[in-house]
Amino acid sequence: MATASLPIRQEPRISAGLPRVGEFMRWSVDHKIIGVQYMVVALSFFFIGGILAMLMRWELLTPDVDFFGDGAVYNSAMTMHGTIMIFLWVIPMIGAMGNYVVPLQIGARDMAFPWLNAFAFWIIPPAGILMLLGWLVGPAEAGWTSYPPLSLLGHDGQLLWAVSLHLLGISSILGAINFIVTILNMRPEGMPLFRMPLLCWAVLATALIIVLATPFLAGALTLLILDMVAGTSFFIAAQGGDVLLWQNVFWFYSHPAVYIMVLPSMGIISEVLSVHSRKPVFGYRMIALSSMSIALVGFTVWAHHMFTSLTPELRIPFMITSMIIAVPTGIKIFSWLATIWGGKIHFTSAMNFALGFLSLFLIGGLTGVIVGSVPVDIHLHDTYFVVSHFHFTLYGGGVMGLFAGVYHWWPKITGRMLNEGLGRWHFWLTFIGFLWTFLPQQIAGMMGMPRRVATYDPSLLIYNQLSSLGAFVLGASALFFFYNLGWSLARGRVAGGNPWRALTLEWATTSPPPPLNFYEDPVPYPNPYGYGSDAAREYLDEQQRRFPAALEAPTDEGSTSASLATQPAGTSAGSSAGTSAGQQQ
Amino acid sequence: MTDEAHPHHHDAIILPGDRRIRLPGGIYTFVFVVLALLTLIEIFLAGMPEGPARVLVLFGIAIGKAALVVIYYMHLKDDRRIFAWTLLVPLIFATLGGFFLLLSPVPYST
Amino acid sequence: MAEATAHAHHGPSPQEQAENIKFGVWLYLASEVIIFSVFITIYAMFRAQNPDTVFHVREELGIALVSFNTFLLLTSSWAMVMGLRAIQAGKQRALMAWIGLTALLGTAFVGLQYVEYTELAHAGVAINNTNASVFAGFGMRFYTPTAFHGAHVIIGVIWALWVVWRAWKGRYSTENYVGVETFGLYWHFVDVVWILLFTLIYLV
Repeated sequence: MATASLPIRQEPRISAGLPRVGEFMRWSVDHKIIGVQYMVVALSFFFIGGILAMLMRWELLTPDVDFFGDGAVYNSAMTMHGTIMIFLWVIPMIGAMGNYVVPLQIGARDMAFPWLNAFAFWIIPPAGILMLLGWLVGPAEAGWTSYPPLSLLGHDGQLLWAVSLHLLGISSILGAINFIVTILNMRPEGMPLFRMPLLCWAVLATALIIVLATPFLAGALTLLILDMVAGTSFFIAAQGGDVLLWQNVFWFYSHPAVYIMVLPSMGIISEVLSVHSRKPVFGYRMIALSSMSIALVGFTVWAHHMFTSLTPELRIPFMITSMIIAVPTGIKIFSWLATIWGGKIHFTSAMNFALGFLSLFLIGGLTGVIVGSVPVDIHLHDTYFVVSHFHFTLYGGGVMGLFAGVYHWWPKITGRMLNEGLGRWHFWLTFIGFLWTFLPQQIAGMMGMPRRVATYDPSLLIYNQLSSLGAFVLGASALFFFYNLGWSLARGRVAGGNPWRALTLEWATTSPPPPLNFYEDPVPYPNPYGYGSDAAREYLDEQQRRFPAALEAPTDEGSTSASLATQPAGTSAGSSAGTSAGQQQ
Repeated sequence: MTDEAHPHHHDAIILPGDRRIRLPGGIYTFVFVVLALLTLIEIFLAGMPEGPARVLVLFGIAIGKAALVVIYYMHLKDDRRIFAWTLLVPLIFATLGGFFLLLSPVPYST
Repeated sequence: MAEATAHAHHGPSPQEQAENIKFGVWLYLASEVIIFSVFITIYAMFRAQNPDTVFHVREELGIALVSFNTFLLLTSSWAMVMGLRAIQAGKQRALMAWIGLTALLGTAFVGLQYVEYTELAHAGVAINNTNASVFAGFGMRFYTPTAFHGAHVIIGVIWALWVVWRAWKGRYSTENYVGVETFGLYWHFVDVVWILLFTLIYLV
């Protein structure tokens, strides 16, 4: 089929209707249901991890251990905060975004392996609960890196932690295999690899890293578990083991894993920046390829986490590779800036968070160059400077990108718009709270405050109190977000098929889409980011007529393909406001 | 997929010099015989005196055997190119990682 | 009719789905390459640093048993691929016989590995040998990769029996044999791992 740019004129449709709540609570092989399941689970753990962060910052208001009563309790809170945020919030959110959006973007009816998809998801809740159950038997206290010998001295909770992580790893490998096959094998005609939306590129790169890196962690965890339960001594130096082995193999996985955590967000903001500034992506090919090169180079830099434990001769090579990886990242940053340059920027919440990503991730990247240089790192290693650095990349980068994604695709997922006012509150409180929390930590770190300890030198009091106050603002900002989600479900404006007037295929259907996603075979618009041309405007206008936010009166009863569409959802709420829903351009 | 995609249906094996031999099972059986012979050679070599040459030859044979299985039994020869990459890329990463661990100096001693 | 075409394109065709499944299995094997490499490397490091311990174990064990076992696994790989060849030619019964033979050889392999483990245990090679033992550090680095491989063989045997059962039900044909093919990919991969483990652990 040729790449026709206009859909065939057909009866307008509003919504396939949200599935009943029960549908989300049980086994389903529909990628959209699974995407929402991932998102709900991830957001729940985000909430738990956030509470832990608040408790830790409360403890750090004073230099002594008082709130937790015991430093070990602080250590377990710190460990669980890190593990939950990484393995039960950011990484499952890849499953959420990827599952919901990727098949739609490539015009597929579902993922390549729907059953496997559901199976991969259903590993997560039990694994997460297993990790939390650690609190009943003495929780893990060795940090998310779980270095031996510390991790071998702990309670049984450390074992549950390791088993849980093993399960989460299996889940993410299975999910990643699914993504790779779906993206490479299931694109429609008219969408060659280099016309694929950039989110798909990012998810592809992420999935490749997951398949190639996560088994390293699985191997290391297997050995760690054996050391705990079978009397082996792989990591016990006193019995012929090798503690550095864990560090090496762990970082074989975990450095690539930081790109697992941030690449999807990079994909998200590539979409958001282009759509909400009504401009084609600048340097599409370079953004796509830099995702792949980040994935590749990401495998060569692991030992920069070990500058202080590695043999000194190896420091310089790893410093060099670490600097090299700033190049593809820089290419992306400049391409994004050029994308919005001169664009017609709409400061929607999604756009705000995408811009927040740009500025905060930039700081994260630059502080990465600082800690990546050996002489500085010898001083900064394991201080709050590092804590600040990776929060800038993972929160300022990864999580801001995920928020942008939620604001961008929520209307597609639920059929309802989020409240832009609440979104603005959420964004500004997050942005300010974030800088307020993590900039003082940079100073505290440079002054030598070690991470992972409940106490600190009283001279650092002011930085910690500042940081804690900022953290409470940051924590409060999330409440606006959660409230906004609930508000939208209850009273959000009906979104219509394409509230942002975006050209990618996920918008060429109703919101939410029907069970098999499309009403006829989807034909991708030739350039997924071809904004600003008359052809694009015509295409979008036609789409708007086809999938409007609301109809004057529902008319398509009994038409031939009506079996796929149900009654318009919430016409009463949306009939008046609907016609102006998110009109852009 | 059509029958022509499965050249192994025929029992004939073409050897260098355009000679043909017929064997029940065709190339699959031929590869099996080669694998068995290589294994016998390996076992013989294992009794030889220690030395880097022995190690190199043994690993060479093992890699050759593995390659035969992958190319003929797992059909990498005829299948999609991307499957070969799917195997090669992790092999390269694993080999590099392994040699890093093997060769990097140990900063402590027990 | 718009609806008819929409239904016709609801999912990938059987051929496309077969390609998807094969690609998925290859990706799964890619992840297996990595996890096996961790265990293999750890043994190789020990072999490089403690050759005397390794030779000591070899004197206890000899290589007769493991060589025989290696031939069993090689033969099973051949049987597997002959089974695939049979179903490509539409021979259901031959498929069942060959894959049944594969399962049988795999079971024998695991059984003999158990015999070998017992011998080693009698000689005093344990998973938790401490520094005081002459085999210090060997046991865990030996048992982990071989047992992990053995577990893969056991899973493979179960998978083989499942393939036989499905063949008995007539699920495979000259057009549809991807189920046999993917099991073959797995089984040959397990064989390849053994080829490397055999050389590294018992011969080098």
